[in-house]
Amino acid sequence: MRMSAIRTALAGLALATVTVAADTDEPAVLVALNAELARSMQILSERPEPPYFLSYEVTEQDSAAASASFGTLTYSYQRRSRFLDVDLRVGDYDLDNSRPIRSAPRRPRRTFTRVPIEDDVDAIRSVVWNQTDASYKRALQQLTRVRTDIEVKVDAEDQSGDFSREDAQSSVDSAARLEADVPDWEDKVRRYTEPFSAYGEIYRASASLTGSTETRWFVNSEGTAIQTSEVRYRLSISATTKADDGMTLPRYESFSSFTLDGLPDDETVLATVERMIADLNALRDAPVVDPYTGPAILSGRASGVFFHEILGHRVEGHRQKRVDEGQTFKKKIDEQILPAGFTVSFDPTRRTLRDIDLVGAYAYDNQGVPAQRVDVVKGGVFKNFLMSRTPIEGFANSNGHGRKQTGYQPVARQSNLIVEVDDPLPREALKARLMAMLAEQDKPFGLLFEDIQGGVTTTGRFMPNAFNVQPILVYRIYPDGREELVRGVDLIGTPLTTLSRVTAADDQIAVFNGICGAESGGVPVAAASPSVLVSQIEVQKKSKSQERTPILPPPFDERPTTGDGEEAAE
Amino acid sequence: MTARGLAACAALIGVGLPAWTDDVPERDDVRGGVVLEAMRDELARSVETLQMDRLEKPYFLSYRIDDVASTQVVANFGAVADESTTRNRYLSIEVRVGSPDLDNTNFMPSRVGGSPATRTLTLPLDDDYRELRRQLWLHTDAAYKYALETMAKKRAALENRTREELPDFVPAEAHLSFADDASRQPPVEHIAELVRSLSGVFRDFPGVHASQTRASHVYARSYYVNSEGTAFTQAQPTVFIEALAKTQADDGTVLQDFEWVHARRWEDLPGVATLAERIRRMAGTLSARRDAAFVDRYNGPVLFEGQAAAELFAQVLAPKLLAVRVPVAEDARMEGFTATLRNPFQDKIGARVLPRGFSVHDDPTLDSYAGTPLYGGYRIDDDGIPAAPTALIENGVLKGLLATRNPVAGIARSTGNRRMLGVPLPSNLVVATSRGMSDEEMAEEFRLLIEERGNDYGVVVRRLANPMAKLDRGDVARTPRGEVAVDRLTRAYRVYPDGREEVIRKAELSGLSESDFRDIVATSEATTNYTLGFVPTIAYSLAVTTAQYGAAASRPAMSIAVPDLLFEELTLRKPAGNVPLPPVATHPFFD
Repeated sequence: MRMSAIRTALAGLALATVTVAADTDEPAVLVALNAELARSMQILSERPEPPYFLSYEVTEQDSAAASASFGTLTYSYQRRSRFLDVDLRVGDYDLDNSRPIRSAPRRPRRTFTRVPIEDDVDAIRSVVWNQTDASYKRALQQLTRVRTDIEVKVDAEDQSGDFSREDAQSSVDSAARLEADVPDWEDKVRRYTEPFSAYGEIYRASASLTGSTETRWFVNSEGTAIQTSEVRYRLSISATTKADDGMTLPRYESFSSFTLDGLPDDETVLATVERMIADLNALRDAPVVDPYTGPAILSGRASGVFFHEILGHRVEGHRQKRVDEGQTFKKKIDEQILPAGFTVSFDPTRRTLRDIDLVGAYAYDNQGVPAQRVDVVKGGVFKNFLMSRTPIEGFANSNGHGRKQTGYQPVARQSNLIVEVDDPLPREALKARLMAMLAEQDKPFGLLFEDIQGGVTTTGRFMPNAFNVQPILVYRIYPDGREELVRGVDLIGTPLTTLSRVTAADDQIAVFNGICGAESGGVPVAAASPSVLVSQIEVQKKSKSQERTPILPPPFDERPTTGDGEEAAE
Repeated sequence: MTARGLAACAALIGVGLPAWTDDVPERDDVRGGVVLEAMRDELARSVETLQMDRLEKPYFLSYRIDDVASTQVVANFGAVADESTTRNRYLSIEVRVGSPDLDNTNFMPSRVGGSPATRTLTLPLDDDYRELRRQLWLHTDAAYKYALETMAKKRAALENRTREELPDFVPAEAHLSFADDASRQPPVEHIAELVRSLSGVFRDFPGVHASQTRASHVYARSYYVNSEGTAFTQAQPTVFIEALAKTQADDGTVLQDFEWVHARRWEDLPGVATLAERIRRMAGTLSARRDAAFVDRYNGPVLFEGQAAAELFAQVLAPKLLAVRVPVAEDARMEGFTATLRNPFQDKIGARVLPRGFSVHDDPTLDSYAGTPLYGGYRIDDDGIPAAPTALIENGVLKGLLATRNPVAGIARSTGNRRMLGVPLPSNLVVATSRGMSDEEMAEEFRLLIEERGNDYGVVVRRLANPMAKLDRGDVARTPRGEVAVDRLTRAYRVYPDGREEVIRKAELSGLSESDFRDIVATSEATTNYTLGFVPTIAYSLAVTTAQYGAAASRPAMSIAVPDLLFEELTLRKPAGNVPLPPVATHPFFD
């Protein structure tokens, strides 16, 4: 069983000062990695069980961040870090140590191997040597277990090999520069959270501004040598209130961009903050919805996450091979799974959509394979899977979706999910369709999921194969078209049933940028979709805090007036 | 280059050039400024008006804020691997409901996972009165509700069970103490320059497989206020340098060693040449151990010198000098576990635990002993009790134990050793003997013992491993049940009657117990001061039984001053068990 989640989380950890790169043709890290790669392959080739493949990836994060709560600074930093990942394989492309043991699937294990942040080839090589030795010993152990496992277990259903053959790549991207004026960022996040401070009923309010340059160096024994470098900025704002029944009510907003200028200006952010405050105040008094089934409209962001959960995680290639996975779409190639006008693609080569930067973009995946657009559903018909270098029956090669967070082994993961329809309806027409369904189905109301915080799904066989999308703003739509804000429900369902209920879409495409967590860690992904009408959805009660609201009123009015600070409004 | 590096750095410090970062805000008010003002005001409001419906009000409330600014640099093999500069404010609240005779503490709930005693609460860094009040208000509310729930559980557990007739809290007088110790952070580049050059020492040692060198400067400033009228501020800078090294012998045996250096201020550090020499010596011994012989088994006199004597005392005897209150378990089936927490020395007060002539006392007011610095001191403890010396052992007889305001049978008063965890902790432990020997006398005594025993050689131990100072944390002594756990002997030598010494590859003590300390036959005149992060695991287990809401900010350090210790007879063995294979390839730098 796998749990996967997409969240509006901050990706960043680390960062700091600029180092002086050695003034040579090749970056020092590449020099060190290539030297150790050649030496290791040569020395290990003399062993009884030599490696047939070795790759090194060093990921550098140069990051800066500032975060504030209610107008005061909570943290800020600049930091740079480098981590090493080694993929060493013994056996051969058909059968190697990476094959999952069927009786006891390996639990994903994260390793942290720091590499010097200074471009000192000898110091970097000393770390790479240590990790290569550890990886080789671990691989030998794994291969012994794999060989026994295939002897004692029934024949595998999927007879494909363990590692695909791919062309060598060579590319050195210029190093991207982080633009970070941390004191200025501190000032910004203070100002962005200051408006919340007048409200005693808002118990948490924070804003974080993060910037990070991720530079990756990847080399492998097949001749690939790559340097990529990409900057990302993110502003996220979150605030929480509590209803009298104890229910915690959050509001999140986030903005992502490849450039600092791409983030919204102060005026736009402050207007967003005011809207968040108004929503929170309205949510506290909103009625609670009971479990219900009926038609619903999912706004573009909600729909994007909905497709990410119910479809996206189920088309990740390696899941079609693992015996503990549900394999929902394994035998559905060329079957109609959505209305004829729907296309769902994953496109890491696309960097923007309607002026919004897509954070799931990259040039090469974590196995050194060039990024490619993959049409998973075309004209409503299921066509393809997202592939890493783990082949599956009928799909022998990677399509550039082998991804991971530093410290994990890569598996097939999503990039930029894009839902497109041939015949979009105007928003009003979509709503009119929903109102017509209410009459047909004799329902007192339908639901509109306007914004969501994230979602979660299980794709395994042991637990029910279900998904849960967690909305933040939900409205009831009555037969007369009236909309009413409600609270207290999550959108749930099972993949095939729910996909078969998708009916139509409008022309209002929106983007959800977030971090998706699964067995290879957290990776940035985007999900873009128009609003979608689903003829039948189900909602269940949200889990709820049992804590009462604070006993004492806020302390704000209790200080002798000094002239500074604002009085509590409201 | 390295020597000039530190000299330049010292010059900068001396003249205070403006290159300095100043992460600690200037405080015009040593009495705690706006931070303490917000704490006092919210405390007063809560004491007066905080009450849930018909349930009881708190009878005791305290706030503590630790403002910690730290800079750390880590280097490997001559290159910086990580640099970080952080500042955090941690909040810890204590709410007591009930009465001092029976309150919500000394109670171990069945579910301790995620207990607020072990969770960190952070506060904004700006000195913003209004925001500090908001955060104190919200956290106090949560802490009070948690205290009420714990009290209800404890009362329920005691419905059908008796309880040790001991109060849960001892009263204390109000005390005010305000102190600052302004310390400037050395610029991160200066720390980096030093660490880079120190870690570069390992480039001269092909026998060392992996190393890590780290230096940090931490400035911690605390603010405290409680409902009894106590308030204090205190501040301390700490500088720490650590070099860890690891290798494997050709048979695969994992060998590790370390070097620690403490100082209050960056400018108090020894020169870079001195530091490099200490690391060089460590790396040299470590390399030599790869080819050294084991001792399969040894019975006979063992001399613990310097760090080894201090570390041995810290690992074996220091945990026994703490008064441990056994909590009421929510689930009666857990009483089997809670009984194991009891310190057997609580029954030995008045009994001989060390040879005649030995005395041990704890003294948080000391800054130095025998002319060298100690780093475990403070002015006031974390309950607001002024620091004072405590006599623990006199002429070999146990006189008392270190205590907090949480009483145990026979120890009714706090000794001022609360350090934010579940048990009292030592500050500066001073071990003194009435008749210390000169080095020559010690050597002669040792030689006589070896002869008397009819052995070819004796064993001297100069370095005992510390569980926190390891690159490979899996390399620990595996102690059979019933034996006192002591870490491995890192630098141990065979010493022959003619004075010749041979380093031993690796060894551990077998069957050691506290009572072996009564058989110490000689001690040196000179003492060694040694500082270590000292937190026995029991301190974490019992943190959940305190009133603490919000975890402590740091691991308290203890200093210990000990003479060399000569044991008449101890048993050494070769570490048992299988070892990992040595690396396939050699280190690329030495290839």
